[in-house]
Amino acid sequence: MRPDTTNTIGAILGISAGILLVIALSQGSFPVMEYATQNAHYIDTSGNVGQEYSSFLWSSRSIDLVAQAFAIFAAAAGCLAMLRVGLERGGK
Amino acid sequence: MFTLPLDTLLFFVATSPFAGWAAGRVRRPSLSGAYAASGLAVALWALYGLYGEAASAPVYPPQAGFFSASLRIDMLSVFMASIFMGLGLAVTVYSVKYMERDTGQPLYYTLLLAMISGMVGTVFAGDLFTLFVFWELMCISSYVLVAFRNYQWEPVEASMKYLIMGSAGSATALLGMSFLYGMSGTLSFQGLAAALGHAEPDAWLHLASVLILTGFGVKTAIVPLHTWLPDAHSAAPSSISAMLSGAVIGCGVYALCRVGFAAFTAIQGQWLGALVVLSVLTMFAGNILPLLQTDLKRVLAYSSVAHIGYMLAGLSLGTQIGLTGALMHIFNHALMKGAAFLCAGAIIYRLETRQMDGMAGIGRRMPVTAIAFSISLLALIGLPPLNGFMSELAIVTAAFESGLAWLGVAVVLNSILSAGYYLRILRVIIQPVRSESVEGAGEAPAAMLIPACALVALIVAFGIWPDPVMAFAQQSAAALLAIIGGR
Amino acid sequence: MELHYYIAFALSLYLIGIYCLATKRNMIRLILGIEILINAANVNFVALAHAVPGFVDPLAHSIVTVSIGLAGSVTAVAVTIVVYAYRHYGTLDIRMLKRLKG
Repeated sequence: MRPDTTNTIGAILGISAGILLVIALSQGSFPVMEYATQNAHYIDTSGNVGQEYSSFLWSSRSIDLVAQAFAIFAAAAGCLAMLRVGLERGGK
Repeated sequence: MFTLPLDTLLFFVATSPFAGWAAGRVRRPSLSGAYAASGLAVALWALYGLYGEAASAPVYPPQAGFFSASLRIDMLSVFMASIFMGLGLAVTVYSVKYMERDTGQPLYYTLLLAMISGMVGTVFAGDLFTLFVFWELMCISSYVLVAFRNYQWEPVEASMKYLIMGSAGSATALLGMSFLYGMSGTLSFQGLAAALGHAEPDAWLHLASVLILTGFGVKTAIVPLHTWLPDAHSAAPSSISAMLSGAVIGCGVYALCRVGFAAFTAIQGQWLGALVVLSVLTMFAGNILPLLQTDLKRVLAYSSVAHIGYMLAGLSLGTQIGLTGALMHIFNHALMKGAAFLCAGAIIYRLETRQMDGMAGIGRRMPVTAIAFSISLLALIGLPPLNGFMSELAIVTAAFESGLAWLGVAVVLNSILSAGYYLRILRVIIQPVRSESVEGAGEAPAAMLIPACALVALIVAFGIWPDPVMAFAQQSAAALLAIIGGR
Repeated sequence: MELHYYIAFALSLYLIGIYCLATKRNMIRLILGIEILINAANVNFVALAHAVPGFVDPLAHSIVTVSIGLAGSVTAVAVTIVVYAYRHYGTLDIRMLKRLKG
């Protein structure tokens, strides 16, 4: 079975990228929250995480939820537009 | 609700299918186009009301309660939103006639309004994640709009390639955003500017900047990632090509400059240096490749890549005058490229072909269209009394003032090089008539001529009197740079 | 588990997604590759939300929730376009979609 050229090149590049990644990550650590300021919204994991997270989502990030709803609406409209039943008309 | 222009647009997106269904019952599908156009007009009027408020300080819609929003509307947002809505209005009026033979028109107008809402939401966002959600709304609508005429193979193939590259880019940008979140604990632009303004330029910040530059750069058609653009912009219906080339590309440049000047000020030298090199590559690729093309819309699509190179050259200087030039060029390019694609669409509507060989002499049968097309092509070259000249002059002046004289020379050289293919299109239009299909063609319909001529009138007006656009762009550039001060 | 294991996992998931996009031929597999890329970013967000021990930051979790919805919409549109690509070309091989050149 002749090996496929693209797959071979892709595999070699992928493995070399992975090795570089391991080397790079062992060099320095990630500066987690190094520059962060005090955040008032942290949730204690011992409490009722789901409830508190849900109230945060609906109170502070509601525009993202509305925009996501419109994105899903646009995707539905798009799928309907693509799968519409219509005659083939002319024109470019 | 949130803010009036965005609310109006989203309301019209939600109700457009119902208007389209009602229009279908009355057997006049173009009424859904009229509904969409009226929605855009109302939104433009609402935006004008916002302009006065945003001129003094950024407007923050209420931050608490159910309708809290992380929106931040400053002069740059109003500037970009006015471009998107103005071009959108012209394209909607044009589409009433251009898309009349197609089925599924209500969904077309819904998707067009959704794309415009996505773009306006992107520029109004004050938070990187809100920007990403509206960006995805814009992207999803544009993938479907490119493939709208799916009974032909070409739009489907172009849209497939566009979708794969575009969504891979969005995912890359999301990964970059996650690293920025990890370093600073917040994704709002003010928070990022405050937190990362004095950060150490370590490898993780560079990695995040590379990921975000690549991710938004796919949509902005920076050179190694531009390969989707000629296919998608030429296979889409001409009205959508005008929107893609004029507005969606400008939205990509906006995202780059907003994130860059908020989060990456610590590594500004390296990041802007990379952008300088990429802009020169983009300019040359966009001007040399179309010299070999025979398809009219492909030539215009490649020229969009070249103009992105000019915008990035202005952006990569980092000074206020460089940014003013880049923003003015986004505005002027939307006008010029919009008019060019609308006129090209009118010619294609009459002749049913996109090859330039089959269009010889069309100017003699469609005089108004040909005059409008010629003015927009001359403006794209950058000739003096038209508006392309002023913005390119601003970019070149900024390059000389910043000490990067070679960049200014490159921009001038590219303008001269681009005349090669623009003048070829002009020659095709005014040649003697050779084929019968051109002989029998009539003038374009009025509903298609009026938006094109309106855009051309603006091209000439802003060329002779560029002060309003320049002042608007200058205020926007100042607002963009002010975020580093922490407002 | 230390934080850098999670970040290493997210980055290797990203590399797997890029490998999938670069080498696979079937269009459905390419769509799944895009899903893998988005999930790499989601994993990274969730991992970085636990920076302070004993607390989670709900901002990152809300971002992931919305991102999953958006990924689903993009996949839906992509699969619809693949349906039409199959109707025109008769194959799901993306290397056969080479009529547009230049």
